Amino acid sequence: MADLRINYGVELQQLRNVSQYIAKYAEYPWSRLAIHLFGDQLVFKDPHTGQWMSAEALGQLTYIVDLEMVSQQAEADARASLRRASEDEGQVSRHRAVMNNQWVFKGTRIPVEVIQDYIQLGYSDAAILAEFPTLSRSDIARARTFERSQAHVA
Amino acid sequence: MNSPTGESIVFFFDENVSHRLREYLIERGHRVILSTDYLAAGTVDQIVASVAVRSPMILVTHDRDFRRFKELLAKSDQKWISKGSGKLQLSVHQSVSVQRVDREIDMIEFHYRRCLSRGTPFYMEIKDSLVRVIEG
Repeated sequence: MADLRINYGVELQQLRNVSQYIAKYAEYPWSRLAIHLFGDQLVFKDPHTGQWMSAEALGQLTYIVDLEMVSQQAEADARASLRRASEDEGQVSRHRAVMNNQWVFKGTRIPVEVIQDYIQLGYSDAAILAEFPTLSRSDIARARTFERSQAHVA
Repeated sequence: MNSPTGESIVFFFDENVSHRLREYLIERGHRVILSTDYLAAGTVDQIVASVAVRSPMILVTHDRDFRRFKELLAKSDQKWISKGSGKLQLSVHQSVSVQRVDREIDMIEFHYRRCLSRGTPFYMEIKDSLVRVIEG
């Protein structure tokens, strides 16, 4: 307790609050109490309920958020949001500001004509997908049927 | 095979660049970042260009619109052009890009070192039978 008070600046009132709270649990002395410090704010784990409590405002529950887990989830969500929509697979589109206004596979920057060239060169579907992992088999199927003269826009 | 210059280049791959070229450059000792890992699918040219110039990395693209690279950048983006950034324009078909880059890799690495020492952006275009070095 002295360590918390002197080295971590925890207010005496917070320590008193915790002492009062755990007094009802004779079998749980301070030494067995799980605590966390957030700056000079003390939180402790209620020995019976397992809930984290604030030492400053007794009765106030505290939720410990695993920020690393939140960060990983946010990163996974962000990556998923970058991915091409599955309904775009097998579709083509054009945009003035994408690949010189050529027909591309919808939701990509890969021209249909490029894949038609690969097909003509004898590349298998698997080899083409290895070269352009953001495409799908339905895109290659679409390239086979797409009118070649239409695919190229100079 | 490792970059004989010892100077590792960070390449930023547009989505239209083949995967084999990525493997080739990594094997050569360079680093490759995929635009699709950081930008939404089908992103427009201006955004690809804008992201590319903000870090010391060379954009690699087959998109002919990027020949007018500086025009793609908004004025506010041009001030961000960082040392060690630039563009490698591949005006060749994707299926032969590895062979062409392999033939010119020494010049690419040499020009990159030169740009770094001068503090100028790297601009180079590889065509079927010639290479164009553009002084930034």
